[in-house]
Amino acid sequence: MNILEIKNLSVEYKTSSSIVGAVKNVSFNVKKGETFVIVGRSGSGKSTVASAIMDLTGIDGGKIKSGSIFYRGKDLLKMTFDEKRVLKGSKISMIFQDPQSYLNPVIKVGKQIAESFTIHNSQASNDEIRKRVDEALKKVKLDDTERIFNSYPHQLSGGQKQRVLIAMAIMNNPEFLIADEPTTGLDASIQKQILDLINELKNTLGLTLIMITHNMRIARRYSDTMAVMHNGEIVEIGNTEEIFKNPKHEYTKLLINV
Amino acid sequence: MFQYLVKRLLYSIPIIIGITVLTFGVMYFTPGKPIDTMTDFNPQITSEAKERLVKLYGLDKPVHVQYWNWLKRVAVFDFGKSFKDGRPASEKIIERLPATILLNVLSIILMLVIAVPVGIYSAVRKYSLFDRVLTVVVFVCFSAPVFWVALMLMIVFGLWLGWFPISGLTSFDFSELSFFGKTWDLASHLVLPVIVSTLGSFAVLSRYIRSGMLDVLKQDYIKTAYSKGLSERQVIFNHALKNALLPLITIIGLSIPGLIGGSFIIETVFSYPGMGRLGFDAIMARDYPVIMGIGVISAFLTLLGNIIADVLYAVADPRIRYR
Repeated sequence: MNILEIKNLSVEYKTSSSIVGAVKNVSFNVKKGETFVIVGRSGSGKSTVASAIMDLTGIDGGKIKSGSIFYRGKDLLKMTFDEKRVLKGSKISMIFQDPQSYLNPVIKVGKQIAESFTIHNSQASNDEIRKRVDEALKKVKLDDTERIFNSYPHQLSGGQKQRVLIAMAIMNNPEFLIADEPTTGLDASIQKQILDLINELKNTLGLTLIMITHNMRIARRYSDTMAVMHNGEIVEIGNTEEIFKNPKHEYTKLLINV
Repeated sequence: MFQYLVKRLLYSIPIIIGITVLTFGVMYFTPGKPIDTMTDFNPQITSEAKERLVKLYGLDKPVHVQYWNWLKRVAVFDFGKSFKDGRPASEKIIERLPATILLNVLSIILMLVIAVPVGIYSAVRKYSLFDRVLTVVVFVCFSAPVFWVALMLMIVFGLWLGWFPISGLTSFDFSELSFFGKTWDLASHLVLPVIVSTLGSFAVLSRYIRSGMLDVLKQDYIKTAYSKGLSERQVIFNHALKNALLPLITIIGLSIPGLIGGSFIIETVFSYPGMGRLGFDAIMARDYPVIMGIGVISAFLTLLGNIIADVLYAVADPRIRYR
């Protein structure tokens, strides 16, 4: 069963001088429970696809020109902002590439995690909220919950911050998680821990995962299905192991052999 | 933090002394001497009498001796007597303080109340009709000379329409009015000066807030907030506002000296009995003790404003810790 179907998606960005087609006519399906990896170099449009699913295109000054994004058969692009709001952060969550800049510097971490819960559960009591935050922190292996809860982002390490962002994303037991280069900006030793954590959460929580990366080794290790993006287009898509064994497109061969 | 404060306060002492040296120097080397205004228009004054006056005020001594004598007195909080009417300079300054503080507190409040929402709204609705209209309004407010705006308001609202009095702080029969009448009288006198002194700063501040807010709305943590499912309103008020308003602390801190120093132009145009006009009159009369008194107080308050702003910054922004 396809949980996400993207059909002919095109996204444009307006720069000061010209309009850039960041994503051109992209289509793919994501099956429930799989890990779907989009690989490509920076500027290939892979993050733009993620932004489009999360309705973040406008913040970067982009515009969705055409296409549809079906989530469980409903077109996200035809929904109102408020209809999408109900899904975002509860059914569909996202974690980002640079944990430092994706946390609000002036709000305590605990409050930022709690917000993910309260926004979708306005009736929750304070005790329940705190319990949920602690549970989420434990799920991402931040056992020092009391200290983390009362810390500001700058008081945590890069790895801890990424765990906090993951805790925020899984707060409402989503069924669909988008991880946009989740290990960029982290030390090499931490990268594997974070990827293993995401993979473990995927299995224990039964998540469907879209991961975006430029790293072919990560793609091969963690994904079931893989899409290779180049200049805003998907040049090759299919079972990860098959692509690695028998790449068809020149660009895919280039990436694999680097 | 405490250590930092002590350090900052100690550093302020040489800065204040430096400022007084500069003020004293500029004042001393400016053409025209204090006794000129007392003697020039008096045809009967003899040159001996002039000499005696110069001696009396210690103006015959070299500049560094004069400065040293002044500093010694200030060290025991004696700002000397006004050359003009012989009253203590400190008394003249204290007497003018409340009027200036009243005017400036009102305009700072008015400025914040208008500029903050306007700046935020025009950032959130960038390039909307409201934002475009506001850009023009701000440009006009900012460019129009204060004295000209003051005169225009006086003509339109004071003379033509007769809604507000155009000068002073109280009417001549103020002392006979009831409490309500006094308040009303005071308020109507304040309307025009407050508007004039708010206009320019409102224009600057609303632009500040607009650009600060635009900058914050582009930050990555705003994307995190939207991806949690927050509404635009929640993103703006829970996540963007605090970050965007942090620079306000500095701006308000820096406006503290203006609170006391007053505006020379506005107070002079409106014949407003505040510090600004006192300073203006003192400079015109080369009234050294009063000029220096105002100088010291302004310098002190500027530094104090800076320190307060820094401390508040540390309170508001958890990333900042002073040592």
